[in-house]
Amino acid sequence: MSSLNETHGDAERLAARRDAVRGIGFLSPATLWTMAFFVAPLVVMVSYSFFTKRGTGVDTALSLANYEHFAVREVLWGSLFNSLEITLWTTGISILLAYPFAYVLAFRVPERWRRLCLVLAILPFWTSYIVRSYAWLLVLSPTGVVNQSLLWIGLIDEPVRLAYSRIATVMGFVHFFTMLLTLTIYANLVQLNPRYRLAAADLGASGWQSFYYVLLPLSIPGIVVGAFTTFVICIGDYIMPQILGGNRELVLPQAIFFQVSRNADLPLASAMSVILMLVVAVAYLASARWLRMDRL
Amino acid sequence: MSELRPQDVGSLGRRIVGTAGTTVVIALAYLFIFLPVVVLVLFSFHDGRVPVPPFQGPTLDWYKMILGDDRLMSATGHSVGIGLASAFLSTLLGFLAAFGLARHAVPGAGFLRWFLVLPLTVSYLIIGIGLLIALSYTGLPKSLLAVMIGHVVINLPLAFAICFSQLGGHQVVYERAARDLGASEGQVLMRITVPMMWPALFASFCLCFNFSWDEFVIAFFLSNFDVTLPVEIWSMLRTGLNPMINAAGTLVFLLSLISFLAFEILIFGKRARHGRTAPEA
Amino acid sequence: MAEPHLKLERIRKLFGRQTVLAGIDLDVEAGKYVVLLGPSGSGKTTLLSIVGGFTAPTSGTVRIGGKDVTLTPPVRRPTATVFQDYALFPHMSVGSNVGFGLTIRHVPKAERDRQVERALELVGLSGFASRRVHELSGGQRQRVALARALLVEPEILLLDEPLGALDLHLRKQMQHELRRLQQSTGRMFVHVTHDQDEAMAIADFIVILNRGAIEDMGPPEKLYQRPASRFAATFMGESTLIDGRILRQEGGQVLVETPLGALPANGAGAAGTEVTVAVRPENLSIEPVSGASLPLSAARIVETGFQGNHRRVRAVSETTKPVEFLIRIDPEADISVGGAVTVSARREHLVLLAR
Repeated sequence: MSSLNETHGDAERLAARRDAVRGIGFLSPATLWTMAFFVAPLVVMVSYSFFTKRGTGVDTALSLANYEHFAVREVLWGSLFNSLEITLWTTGISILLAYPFAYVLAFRVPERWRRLCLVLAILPFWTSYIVRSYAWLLVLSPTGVVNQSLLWIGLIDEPVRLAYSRIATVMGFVHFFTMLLTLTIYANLVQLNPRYRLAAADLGASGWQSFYYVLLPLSIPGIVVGAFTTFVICIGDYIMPQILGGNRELVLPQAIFFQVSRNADLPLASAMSVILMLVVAVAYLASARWLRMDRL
Repeated sequence: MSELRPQDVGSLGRRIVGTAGTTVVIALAYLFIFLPVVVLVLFSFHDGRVPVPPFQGPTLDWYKMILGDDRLMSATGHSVGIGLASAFLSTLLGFLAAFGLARHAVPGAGFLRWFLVLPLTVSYLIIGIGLLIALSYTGLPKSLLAVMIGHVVINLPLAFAICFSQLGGHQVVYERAARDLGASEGQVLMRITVPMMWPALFASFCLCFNFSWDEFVIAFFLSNFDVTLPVEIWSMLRTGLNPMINAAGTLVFLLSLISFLAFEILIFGKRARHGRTAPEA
Repeated sequence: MAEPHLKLERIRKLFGRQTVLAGIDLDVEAGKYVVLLGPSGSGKTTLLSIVGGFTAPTSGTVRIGGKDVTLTPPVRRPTATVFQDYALFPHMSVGSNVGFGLTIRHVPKAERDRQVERALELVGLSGFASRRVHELSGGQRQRVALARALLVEPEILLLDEPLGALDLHLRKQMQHELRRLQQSTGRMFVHVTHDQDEAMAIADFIVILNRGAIEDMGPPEKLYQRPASRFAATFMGESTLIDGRILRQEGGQVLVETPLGALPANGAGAAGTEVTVAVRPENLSIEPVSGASLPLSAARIVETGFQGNHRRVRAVSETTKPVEFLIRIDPEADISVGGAVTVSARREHLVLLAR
């Protein structure tokens, strides 16, 4: 009996090993590519963050000088707070705008129009990111459409300062992420069983109660996935703040970019990049429960 | 047909209020979404040096100017080349990895899945700087090849995720049937899996191309004298508001739009036709 | 007869140009277990949906307890539904699901917990309140859905193919439990199914639907023994069908001209009317003809099948226009394919059906 089991077990193990070897064969190109061009550069970058700039080269003696530098100079650590502030505003406003829109698309628009509405809703996605930021500059500039309209209606007497400000950055971001969040929330809402809402109504829930007790809790995974994506892209973006926000209140990516392109201080830029990655990691841990739940 | 579905209960008054609310939400949402695009496209035909209201024109001068601009045209060529190459490589590597994970019991599969999508959580800026430092560390020159490699790094997770989500259990039956009829592993992959997966592969290719076509920071750090279209447009931005940028932006939008609509029609048009021949049970 | 508790008057439903329900009239007394039985596409689920308030009828009236509820939304109807896929809220525990109706009525938590536990006990799931929905088996989910719907104390409980997702063994057990629950709560249950065995096992009153119209209705025994139509006779179990034409009326019976000769059948009808005479398989016999039996025809056996407690025999009459008989006989009987037999039946078992 036991010997029979063993031979059987051996054959099974052999088959499993052959299967695993094949799988690893398929996986290795992508894994090696990611190791070579993603992990290795990041490892080098992390070690650079403990070096210091000297002349045009680097001093490879390990030190925390860059991190200390970041902690004491307000223009640097202040940029992190600017980033966090803009990112949180963007994420919050985008969710508040995207949720009703996604809700209407999913439950109120007749089925035959739904696809068209969705395609239209994400159409501006396909303009180039840079061009879209520039287009918002056109809209918000002192002589732009918004100011001209407000002057014409008579709400204001002279142009309001919108472009090159934090408001402009948040506006541009909100535009982009409202589209993104509409997609993730919509995708979550349409895959919900329509009978959940029927059941709630049948058991006596009013429209608001059924939204509060059933729909909202069930759409949290879609919101969290979208919010996390928004957070990650928004806090790491250089283009939108640079074009729309101007150079007065820098965000972290602008400060990093500046260290690379103007000061050629790669070690300091590395240290600030590490800090940015840590912030994202914290956000990931905070939302990990929901991100994983969505995969179930 | 034989299941309960939400339908048409509710008084006429409530339905009218509901419809009005729906229309308002949709109208406001589309106004916000389309405002910058409309301004962009409209003022690309503006007959004046600064693209601000009131609109004058129309004129096609700015389009003539950009089509005659050699630097812009060569940058466009570079972008197309990098986009095609990186989209092809990302989709190929992403599909192979997804196939390996979906069809074989590999040790540490959960970790590998996490690892392969990890680059999605890292800012392009950081990936760009990392590659820049790696280049200076190894003494390799900046080049369009380096840009292409960087674009595969950012697109591979996407291609992998799309392919993995579409490699469901329903194809396994056909793969097994083909093997039973004597097909080798390679034949199964090429004759069964890839043809069944082609919508996902095509979607992945289109998306990767668009992301590469649009990417600025990595291209900025890793390119030298030959640049991509976003980098070229970026340098035009330094001149301030300029209808030429509107014209270039409109053309870029148009190109993306064509690829997107082709994709919509190919994938969803096909699905709709299938839907008509075989309605839901 | 008592005042009907559920009263449907001329219910019609069109989807586009397709008629799903073509004028349904139905009266049911309180406390009955009603089964809406029919093949897929017969409109039975649409009818249930109209009673529950999820679908508005194109025309007609729904009355519950004498009150017109045709335009009342589900929230304010004295009905509760057990959905086909149960629609248990996946983000809530079993207890929160069952207590949902009380939560939204702002019943205090202590009272709610007490009632939830009692409802769970009623369906045989005491102590399950803190479980997650995805930890439950199909049968357990079914019970949770029942408890959830019963806790809002509906006057009518609607069940949409509630046993469809369960395997045969569990289905039999749940049929029994549904019947017990209905009797202990004394509420009206309206249950949709396409399974005639299930209908006969649990119903007080069966409504057979076909193509949006009621083919027949009544207690199961009546429907089985005296079906009103050819469809009802074939949908509720098997029958031998003999087509013919009425010769003349003779008292309470008619004489029908058939390929087997003139046959008497209970019923009335004008001479010349095309009709069908139906006989249930267990009412046909191939034993030697005795006093009360009426010989029908000589026949040859073409197929036999062992069914456990009986043997199902298919035989074809040796007449110019052959008639196919379905006969249920003793499993031990000594017969074989090709054998010649004489098929007979008692007069009272010949049922007259309109064609």
